[in-house]
Amino acid sequence: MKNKIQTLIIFCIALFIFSCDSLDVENQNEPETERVLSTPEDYGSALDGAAFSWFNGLFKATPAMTLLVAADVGSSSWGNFGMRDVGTKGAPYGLGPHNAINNTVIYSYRSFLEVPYSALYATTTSANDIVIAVKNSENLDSDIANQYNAYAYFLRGIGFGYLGLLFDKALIFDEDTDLESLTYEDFVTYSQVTEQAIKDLNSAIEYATLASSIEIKAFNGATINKEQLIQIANGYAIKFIVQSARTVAETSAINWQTVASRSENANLENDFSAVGDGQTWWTHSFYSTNPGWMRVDQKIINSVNPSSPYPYPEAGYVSDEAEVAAQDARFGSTPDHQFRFAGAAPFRANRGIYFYSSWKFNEHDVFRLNGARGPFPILKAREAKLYRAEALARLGIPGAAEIVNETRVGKGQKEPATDSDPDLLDKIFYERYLELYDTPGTGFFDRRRTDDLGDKQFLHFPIPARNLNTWEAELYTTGG
Amino acid sequence: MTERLLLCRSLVSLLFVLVPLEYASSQQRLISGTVTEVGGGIPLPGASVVIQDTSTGVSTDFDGNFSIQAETGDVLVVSYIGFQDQTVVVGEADNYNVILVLDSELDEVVLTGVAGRTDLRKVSFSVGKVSEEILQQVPAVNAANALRGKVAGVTVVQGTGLPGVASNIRIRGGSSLTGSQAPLILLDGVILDGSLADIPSEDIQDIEVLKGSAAASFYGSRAANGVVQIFTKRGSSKLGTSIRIRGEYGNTYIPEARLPSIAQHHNYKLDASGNFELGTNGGYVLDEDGIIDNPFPVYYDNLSLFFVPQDTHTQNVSLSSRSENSRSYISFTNLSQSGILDFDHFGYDRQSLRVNHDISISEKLELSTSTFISASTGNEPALGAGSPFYTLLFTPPHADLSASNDEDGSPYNWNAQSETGWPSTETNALYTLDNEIFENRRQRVTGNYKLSYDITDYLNIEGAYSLDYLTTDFDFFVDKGWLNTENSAYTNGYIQRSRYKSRKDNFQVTLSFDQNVNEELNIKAKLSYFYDDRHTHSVFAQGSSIGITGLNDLNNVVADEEGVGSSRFDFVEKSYSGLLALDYKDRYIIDFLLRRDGNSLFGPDVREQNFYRISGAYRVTEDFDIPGIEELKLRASYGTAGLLPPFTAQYETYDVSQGKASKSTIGNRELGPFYSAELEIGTNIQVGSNIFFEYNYAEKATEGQVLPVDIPVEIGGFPFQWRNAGTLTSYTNEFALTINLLNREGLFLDTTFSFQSTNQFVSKLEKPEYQIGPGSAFIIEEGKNFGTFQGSKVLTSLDELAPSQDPAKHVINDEGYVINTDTGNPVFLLDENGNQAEVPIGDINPDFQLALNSTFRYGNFSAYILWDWKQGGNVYTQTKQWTYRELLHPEVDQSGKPEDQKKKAGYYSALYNVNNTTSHFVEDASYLKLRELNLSYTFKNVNFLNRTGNIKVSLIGRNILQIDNYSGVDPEVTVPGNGDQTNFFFDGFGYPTYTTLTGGLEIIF
Repeated sequence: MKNKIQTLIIFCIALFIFSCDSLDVENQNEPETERVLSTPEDYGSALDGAAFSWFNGLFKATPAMTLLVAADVGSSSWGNFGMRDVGTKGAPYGLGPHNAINNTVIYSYRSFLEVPYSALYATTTSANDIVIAVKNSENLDSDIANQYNAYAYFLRGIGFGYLGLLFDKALIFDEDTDLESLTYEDFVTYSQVTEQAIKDLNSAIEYATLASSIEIKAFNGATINKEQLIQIANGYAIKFIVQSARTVAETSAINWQTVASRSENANLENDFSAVGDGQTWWTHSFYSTNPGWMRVDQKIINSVNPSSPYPYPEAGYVSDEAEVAAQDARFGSTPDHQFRFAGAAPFRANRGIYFYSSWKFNEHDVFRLNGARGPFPILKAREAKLYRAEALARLGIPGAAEIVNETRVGKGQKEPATDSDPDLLDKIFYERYLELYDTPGTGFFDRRRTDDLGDKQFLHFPIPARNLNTWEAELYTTGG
Repeated sequence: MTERLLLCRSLVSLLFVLVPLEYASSQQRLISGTVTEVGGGIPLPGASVVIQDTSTGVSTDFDGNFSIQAETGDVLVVSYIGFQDQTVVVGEADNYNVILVLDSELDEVVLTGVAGRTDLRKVSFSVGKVSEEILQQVPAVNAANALRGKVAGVTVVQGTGLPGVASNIRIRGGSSLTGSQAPLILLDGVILDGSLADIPSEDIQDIEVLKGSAAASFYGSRAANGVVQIFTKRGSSKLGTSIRIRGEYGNTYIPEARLPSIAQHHNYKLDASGNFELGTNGGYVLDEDGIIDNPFPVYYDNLSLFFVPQDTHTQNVSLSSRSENSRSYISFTNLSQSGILDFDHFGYDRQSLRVNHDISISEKLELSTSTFISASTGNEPALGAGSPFYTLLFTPPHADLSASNDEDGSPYNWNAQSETGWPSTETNALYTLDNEIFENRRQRVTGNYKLSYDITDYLNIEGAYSLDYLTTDFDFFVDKGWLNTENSAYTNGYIQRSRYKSRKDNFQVTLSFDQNVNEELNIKAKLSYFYDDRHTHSVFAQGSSIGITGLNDLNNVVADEEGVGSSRFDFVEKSYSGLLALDYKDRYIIDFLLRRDGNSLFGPDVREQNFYRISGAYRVTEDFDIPGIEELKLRASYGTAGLLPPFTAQYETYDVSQGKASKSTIGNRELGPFYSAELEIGTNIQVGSNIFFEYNYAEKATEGQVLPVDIPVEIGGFPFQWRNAGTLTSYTNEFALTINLLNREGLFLDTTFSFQSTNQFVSKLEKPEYQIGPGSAFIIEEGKNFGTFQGSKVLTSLDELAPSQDPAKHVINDEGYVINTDTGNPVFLLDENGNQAEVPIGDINPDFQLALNSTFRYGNFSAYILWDWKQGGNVYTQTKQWTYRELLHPEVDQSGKPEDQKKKAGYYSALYNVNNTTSHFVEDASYLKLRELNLSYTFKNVNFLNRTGNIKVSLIGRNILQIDNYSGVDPEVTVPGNGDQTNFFFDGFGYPTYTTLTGGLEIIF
């Protein structure tokens, strides 16, 4: 009996020993907010993450490829990224109306709505977290605080800025907002979202000006210093001011004086660029330069060479390779051309021959051929310059033609423009479509503000259905 | 009895005479008797005969005789290694004959999920048993395949032919909307986490299957999908050593009738010499008639270069022995499968070693050890879109895939397709197979070490430690010089290395009670404590550009081209369980179970969860004589079990990449397990001595489905939270019927039918409907069946036309589709916005599944067959759909069709429907398969190496006959690694299943 009792005691002790082991297990791979924001030294990582979210939500295949097709700047009838859906037109051939965006939770290509939407809020909320954290960090060195604030306000600004460009409305907030109290009624229109973006970018510029130095390395291969941050922030400010316009009327109503003056401080000389690593950092150019994936829309080809028909005719037409090249030196048949003749499009005839084009975008072909490696632009200096040119032209201030001619003549070898040209604005847009082809959404936003989108094409994205559901709001869509 | 056994028993008798057990010393009368083996009356020398609750005992002599001093009322416990203990109550008689039953004949005993070793007739819930005899007829490649068609309610799906990939098991209806339906697998008591692919079926003694929560509650929060316990062979039940050598050699191939094929015609114009006419832009010119009936200028049979029959072989050597106090089983298995691709670097090789040992340290203390080591190497090709299986079917027949490359003379012209001018430009499938080098190496060690001590004859304590250690090394290499610069990921070579390591340690202490309280009541009880500790660790590195040609090493990656990643996960579980089983008069059986699980995967606020079971059975025939009915048992069981949430689900998380933290999910402190409750009602009936019938009806509802639920991303930046947000319900009817049709001298025929019909549906969903699975082809929506295909519907009735579509301009064609008379194209169902409506277009759930296995023996000849019939249910073929886009599927070929049935290419392009899930590609997944066939002849009593033994020669076939209506290779097809492998039937350019035909030789001596 004694042995039996001993055995039972051992049994109980064993149970007790193992019972003491904790069931609390740390997640060693994915930290929580408390840990991410536990020390000011880590604020930079959180902001770098927010910057990556922003990049991820805008520069990859969705929505960049989708918007190229929606704008009739690029063309593709492959279903991927919603390209076929946003590019399809009813009768008359190649010019008829577009359908509305299929904004449901089960639409196959809904990622072109959801990816940027979630990413931009990941950016704005994370940036806001840091603004609040800095505000609450009493012992933080003021210079360090200025550096973090400059970076955080910049990210919140470009996050809200793109929300204003892409969506019809958005929820805006700042460091003083009681987030938990917000409701669906608090969503505001794109113009108010853009105002918030400009306000944040202005704050970023103020803090950057106060900071002794700034060094942002979030964007692979790029280091942004204090002066560059101020220039880029100004560049984005004028971009959002101009491109948030939905119509010609709204474009005309822009305060072009502001654009002209702010453009002086924008990144007029240097592209804001990053470097593709073939893995995490890559852009839509990997696809948009691939002739199997995308062609330059015939509308662009027609603008270069008016005798090239638009829309691309069902019966096809004799090759315009030489004719187009003769119009603009950026077009040609060799790898050094910005736009390259690529022969027959591989698209399926039954989806609409109007999707066809024999030309492909070639500016970043090396990036594609190197497996998405090498530099790519995020905000080109050329974009800021062309806003400046447009502002000068609209204000009647000389200087626009000189800017236009840098590429019109310098690259296209076309006859020079003059400030007195009645079609100077057209020439500016001609340059914009060719030179800013690779900056996501830019062509779409330009077509939109010049009433040049296809019939019944959406002006902006609706809030994605899955996000409307979280607010128990009624589903709606845009376009069609 | 053989001379060898007689000799062994003599030696044992001698041993026991020399080393006697303690003898009785009191003055009692002399009781004598004989201990023999069941069946032939063969005496068992050296058997132990002990008076219960004393140390008094004797051993039997050479003839199995014993004599012992005992008095009336004493209980003699007779035991012999390898045999079941037997008790004898001493009465007035002085002589007793005791018959012992072999352990290996204990098929009718259940060990899993019950309070103690329980007679199957007295179990109050359904337990499936598969015996060695059936398992070894056609030894499966691995343990998962071994279950197919052998237990009612168990679905085994082999969704891919990829060598080295185990089949997937589902028991009754699914429990999880998100993940696997895989049951909890125990191997000799070791809870396995990894694949069953490592476990050779040659070592399996038998398998027990607890079919649902009602039976599996004992295993708590991981058992909602049921439990499969695999028992491997232990040492011989008889003294001495036996050796078994077994080999199989043969071929693997896809039968001609099932080989994939492509169109042999096209719709482009040809010039006078039969070559393609070229247009102004250099492309082919479409033929105005749009009909795909023009011949290619030249034909190459590329598919026969791709799918090539290969060799397969397996060898097994096992040694089974028994000595006085111990038993050993040692087994080595070698397996080599090459699949169906003709490249030396593809295939699967596995070597495994098992050592099982049982030692009786004393009369009351026994040590059992089970150790298993396995190493395998699998070289797998890429699968799915973009893989060689995809590009092969996108290659027109006039492209010569066997030609050499102009660039460097290497084999398989990479751009054979684009050089023909064909619109698509896929890389040569053979070039890809030749240059993409995959290697997947797995090492597995499992062990179970169990010490069992009889505190009294009714109280036992058992401590067990078990280990499951797995490492997986995955290497991928493409050398420099990849010629397709358009597919630039490999332009400068590519190296990827992944290492995964998992270690799982279990400790379990069990106190068991088993006592006949009186002649009418037996009580079994069990208290158990279980502790589980698991760690996984993975690292990943890759480099996209390499320096030295041919050097497959990460040091060879060019600077700044590296990518790295890693993850570590820890899991802790501890649980307590108590089980009480009451058996009154052998006819009223009640079973209670309570288990409390603490698990680190549950949210902090709900970290401990309770599970329970109550079940009962009534053996009617113990009370009533029913003519012809030997046994009639009615039973009912209700129990709960769970499934674990994913590791990340409870935590608030940021994704960290390159040192940057981005918001991912918000945490949930109240996240509990999937919680399954099942009601099972069933009966077991035995008619005469040769008909056995079991029927079960089961209702299972798994609440608390752990799902990502969208939350307002605008506020916190976190897009979703894991919540318990749905219920998956299933109803199952199943039966098993075994009929022994013949059992006369030398002639034996035994047939078993296993039937099941399951309906599974989403009964509650606390989030909007969503798509899931390969191609996002499946819809999860409240009220809909789990496994419903949702997508675009091609109209089949003019009544379905939208108001905007003029009925006068539409007719129904010979395929039953509504077509537009202007275009000739099929028309789709539209929603109110004019977009294609997304509606249910199919359902994977079959009407029923029925398997039949039958064993026939005549003299030394034996035959075994396993038929598997699935009736109803659908499969989706994206393989066909995508090949429609290329206008290369055989169905688009109009050559030979009657003129009035010829269709234009646009018709098929319209059906392709931009790869959206579309009704045209939903097909009937019914099949009838001859899964297993074994024809054997045994040469008995053959002298071999101075010993006498048996030699068996066999012809063995696996998947040798298939009848179905499916247009692809096999309607039983899934996409490995993409969604539920037992429900999501989807054909997406995978590795086809194939037939295996081998010859076998087995020598036992």
